[in-house]
Amino acid sequence: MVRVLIVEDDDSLRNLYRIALKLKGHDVIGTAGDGNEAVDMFKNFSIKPDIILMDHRMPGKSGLEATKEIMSMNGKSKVIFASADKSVREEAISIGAISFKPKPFSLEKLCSNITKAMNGGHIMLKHI
Amino acid sequence: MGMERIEKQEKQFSEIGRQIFNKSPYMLYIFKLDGTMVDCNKKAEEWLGYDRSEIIGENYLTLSEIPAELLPKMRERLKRIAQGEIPVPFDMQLYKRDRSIAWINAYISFLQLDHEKLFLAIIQDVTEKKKAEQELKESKEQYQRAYEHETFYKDLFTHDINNILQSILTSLDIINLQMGSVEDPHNIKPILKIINEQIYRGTSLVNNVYKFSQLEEVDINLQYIDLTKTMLEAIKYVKKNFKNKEISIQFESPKKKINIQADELLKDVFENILINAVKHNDNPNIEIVIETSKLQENGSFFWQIEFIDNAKGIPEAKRKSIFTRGFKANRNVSGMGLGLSLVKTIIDKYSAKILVENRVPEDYSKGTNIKLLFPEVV
Repeated sequence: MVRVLIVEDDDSLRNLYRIALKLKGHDVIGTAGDGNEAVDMFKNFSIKPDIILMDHRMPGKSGLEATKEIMSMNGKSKVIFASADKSVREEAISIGAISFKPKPFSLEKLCSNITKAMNGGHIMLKHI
Repeated sequence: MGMERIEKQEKQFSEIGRQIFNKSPYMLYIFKLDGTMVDCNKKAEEWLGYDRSEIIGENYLTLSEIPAELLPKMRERLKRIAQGEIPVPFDMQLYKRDRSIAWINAYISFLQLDHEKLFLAIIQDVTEKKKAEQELKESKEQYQRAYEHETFYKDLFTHDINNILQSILTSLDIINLQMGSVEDPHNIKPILKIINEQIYRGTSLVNNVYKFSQLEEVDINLQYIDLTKTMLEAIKYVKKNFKNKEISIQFESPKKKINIQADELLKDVFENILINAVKHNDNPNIEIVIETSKLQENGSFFWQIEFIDNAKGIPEAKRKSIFTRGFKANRNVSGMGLGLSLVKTIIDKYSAKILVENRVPEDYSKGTNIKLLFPEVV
């Protein structure tokens, strides 16, 4: 069972990710509505999440900023970027995200990325 | 060099000076420290529209060619030049005799001739250049607006529409996973509701984008709008569109008819505020109270309309960004739809005000009080 932290500012989408990932057998250990909340949650987890599903454009602290902070706390964190803003793809990867999923993506693809990440680390990125 | 030759040369120089003065393509004016005009060249006569005889002996102040509001600055400039400041060219506006306004570039220097102290003004008409600059500025602004519009629409499609599509796609994935399970209808119903909400979200986004673009293109035509009637229509619309939610909207109609200077978009203002209070509300019973009161501020009267809700509230840090979505918005701002930005844009066009406060002063999470202040129509 993969332990997942969901970071997404859209209330409805955050809830849907949670339901979908649970149905796929994953353990959603937390959900955050913005980058600040995500960083705070990450600090306080005694056992860190295996995967962080990260949106980019959020109020307060963006996904890129939150990822940088999380990576500085734990360089081995596995962050899957899930954003509609494809312009941040390169930067997301350069700061340590293992994958970039441009919205909209299917649950199947997301889960496949989670499995690959758990098995090997970085995912080959196909150009969008 | 003999005296005769020197005298001849001086005479020649004087004649050359006179010819330069008369044939100069620039307007040349000579005036005393008190402003009395001593001389001007042909070009200056023609350009200003006065005969040379009408100019000489007059004070430049009484020719009323310099706009009154610029005179103190002009006096100050001449004073500094007379005191030895190195003159620099400057642009200013002047009235010509026909009262048309022209832009000039002027270089005023100080002359000491024998025992007389004078000013020499070398003036060039730069009206056409200024017009061209203005046109260039307007063209740049138009280009900037077009760029902002393009970025705004691109942003809407990449962010908002894709988020809506992501919600629908994930909802369908969930339904696929749940189909065939024992509790299938029970589990699927809330997900279908989410799909329905996302479609409504997409529709209202399209409507708001259309209204935004209209606001940019057309000037608002203010008229007297009945507050109560518009509010009741907005309440009806919101209740109709959120039938699946328990919504209580309490609105006590004012005893007398209140007219507000607005237009048909006032209904959109009320609707978007109400929709926001419904959308961002996790309570099983959504409660909105609308209160109307008359206020006095700095001697002026205002109608205050308060929308007090029990929604999730807006944290202080987020308040700055809730109204800023739009053509000039920062692309990194997210979290709220287009609704409140549209509200703010319309409210600004009405010369009204919008304030965001907590329902409970020290606790934003208890709900929001959105206040609208409209100047009273007498």
